[in-house]
Amino acid sequence: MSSRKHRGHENMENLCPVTRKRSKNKNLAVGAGALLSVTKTTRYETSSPSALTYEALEEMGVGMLDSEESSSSAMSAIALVVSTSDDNSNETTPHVSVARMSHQQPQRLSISSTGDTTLDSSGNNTILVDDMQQKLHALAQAKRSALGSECSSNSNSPSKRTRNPLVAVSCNNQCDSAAPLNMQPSTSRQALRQPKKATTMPTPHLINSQQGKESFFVYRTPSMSAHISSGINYFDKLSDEILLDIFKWLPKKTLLRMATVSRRFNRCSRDETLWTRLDLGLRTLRPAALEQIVRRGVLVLRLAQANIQEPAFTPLACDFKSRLQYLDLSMTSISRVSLRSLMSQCRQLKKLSLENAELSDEICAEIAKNKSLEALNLTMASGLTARSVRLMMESLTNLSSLNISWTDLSADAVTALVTHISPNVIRLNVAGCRRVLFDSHVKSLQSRCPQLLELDLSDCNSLTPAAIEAIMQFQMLEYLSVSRCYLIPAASFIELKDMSSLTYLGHFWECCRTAQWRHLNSRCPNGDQQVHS
Amino acid sequence: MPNIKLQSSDEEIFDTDIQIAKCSGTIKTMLEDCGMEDDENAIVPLPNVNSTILRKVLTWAHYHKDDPQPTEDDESKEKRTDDIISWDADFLKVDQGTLFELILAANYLDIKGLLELTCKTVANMIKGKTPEEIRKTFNIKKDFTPAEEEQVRKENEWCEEK
Repeated sequence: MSSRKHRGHENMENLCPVTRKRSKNKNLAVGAGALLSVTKTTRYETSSPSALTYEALEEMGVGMLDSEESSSSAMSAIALVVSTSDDNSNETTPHVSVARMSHQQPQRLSISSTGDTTLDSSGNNTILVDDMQQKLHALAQAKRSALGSECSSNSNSPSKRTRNPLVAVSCNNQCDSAAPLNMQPSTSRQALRQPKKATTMPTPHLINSQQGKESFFVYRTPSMSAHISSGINYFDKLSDEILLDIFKWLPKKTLLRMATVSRRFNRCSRDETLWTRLDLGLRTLRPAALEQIVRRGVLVLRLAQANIQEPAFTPLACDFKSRLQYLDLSMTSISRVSLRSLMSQCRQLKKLSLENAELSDEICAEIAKNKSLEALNLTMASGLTARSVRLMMESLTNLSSLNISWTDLSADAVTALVTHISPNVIRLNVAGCRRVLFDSHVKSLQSRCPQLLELDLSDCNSLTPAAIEAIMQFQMLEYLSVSRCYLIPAASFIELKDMSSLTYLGHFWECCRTAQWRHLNSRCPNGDQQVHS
Repeated sequence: MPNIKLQSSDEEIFDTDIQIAKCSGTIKTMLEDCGMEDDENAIVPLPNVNSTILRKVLTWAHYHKDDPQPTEDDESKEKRTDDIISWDADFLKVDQGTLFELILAANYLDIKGLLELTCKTVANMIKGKTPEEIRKTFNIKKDFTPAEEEQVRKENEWCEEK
């Protein structure tokens, strides 16, 4: 056991699943123990056979925690540990954690109830546990034979050949399971509690580091090792279709790893059904990775705040057309060249966020080719010209939601926007058009998009009370934000009370916190109407 | 409940509750399309499943006979593999050969729940392993040329490791 730990340091990668799982279990076990007022020490002493259950978990495959898995798996792992711990434990094992695994079978739960709290079914428990121990013993045997054949090939240490059977399996968790059966049970407890001191165990000298990682996983998955001598690759018997049924349960990270296993896995791991959604937010993407991602046929791609290293695409990528429909590039660090390449491959986008992106006329022209685009977020983007705004507004006829706030538009660009915007737009945010958006624009907008539901005109500080008149013409407007439009006196907003559709009015203006606001509030025709000041 | 006779590839007959047999989409279709439901002596041949595996499949089906019908694959649903109940986990403490034969049987018999369970189990065996360990575990041959391997490795390294 201790040498396993030791090897762990040499080969963390190899042991990762075990070490990670173990520490998680410990932590959580302590947590659960605390809940039950069981002291830490007691917990470890009473859970001596749980080492065995790590093995059991491994066999079930449940313990193979991938880094991408949630901690809930540790939770259920605990539940399983509990359910299989044997009745030597003389403390109540934490039912708390058991209960979290709601689909645990009641009978299995009772196994975890212990000597002190013997239930009616204790007889059954013993039988079950005995059965389990027998199974494990058999597994140990099987493993031993596998071990023999495995070791003879890569080791010349005589000690391996002479070790006794019990010791032979000690290089993995199995020794912990065997120990309580045949030896003084305290060893495994000590090992659990004080891994450092476990060198006193009778077994460690048998594992030398040369044995290494080659054989390690063979040992720890005894039930799976029977086939090793047969050398059969059972995946060969599965069709690609079934292979995908397995692959679909793998995290993306594991899929990428699978590609490097064999040609067939490489081919199957690229199947586009496995790559519909991908979230790489906050990641740093290696050069050319974006091309690989797009080529996988991703439909929904989130790259918010990702950092995309140059070059994102190889020159070959130009003619390729992606399947991307939902693309989030909010705050993504990407060059104009790469963004243009990416956009030139997108023709089926439905939703696109380019928050804070650096745009160009060429990029906008590519965006404009996505005729089915429904939602476009360009807030805080730079490089928008009147020409590109016009082109996009003319082309994107299916647009229903547009956020073009704080994009430093020129007055011409605003004119192009309100005269060419798709009449289908129901949500529009043009906040931050300082000194470039005028009352006339609001009028144009009203005649162009009379069906607007939401409109944000905050910080369009050239608007005057005349704008309110235009706004009053929107028959369906539910949401209106006009913060910091200082030229509009508070009194003018009172007129909005006649807009029956309006349920939200956003307004922030320091010097306007007057009785007039209270007046407006009190005269809101609709009970749901909110005025935020 | 009426029973139905299922015949494995090695010609063993399994007298099975019809409701349990019907958890297999394949058997269900056979029964309904061939009007065998009312025929007590009808024998359903299952030439792709041997008796050992069929026995296991029926054991599983018996335990899960009251399960709700599995819902269709929902794309947005989180793919979890850590939700295997302990009975299933115990049930699948088998050697790799049996596990893969169960996958084939579940696929052939069209038993969604069992196929999902067995595939999840294999996925769990894959998770957390390095490519070399995966090859070792499943006896997979590395059939890349060194150049191919390098290429594939490059194509699958997307993110800087954190």
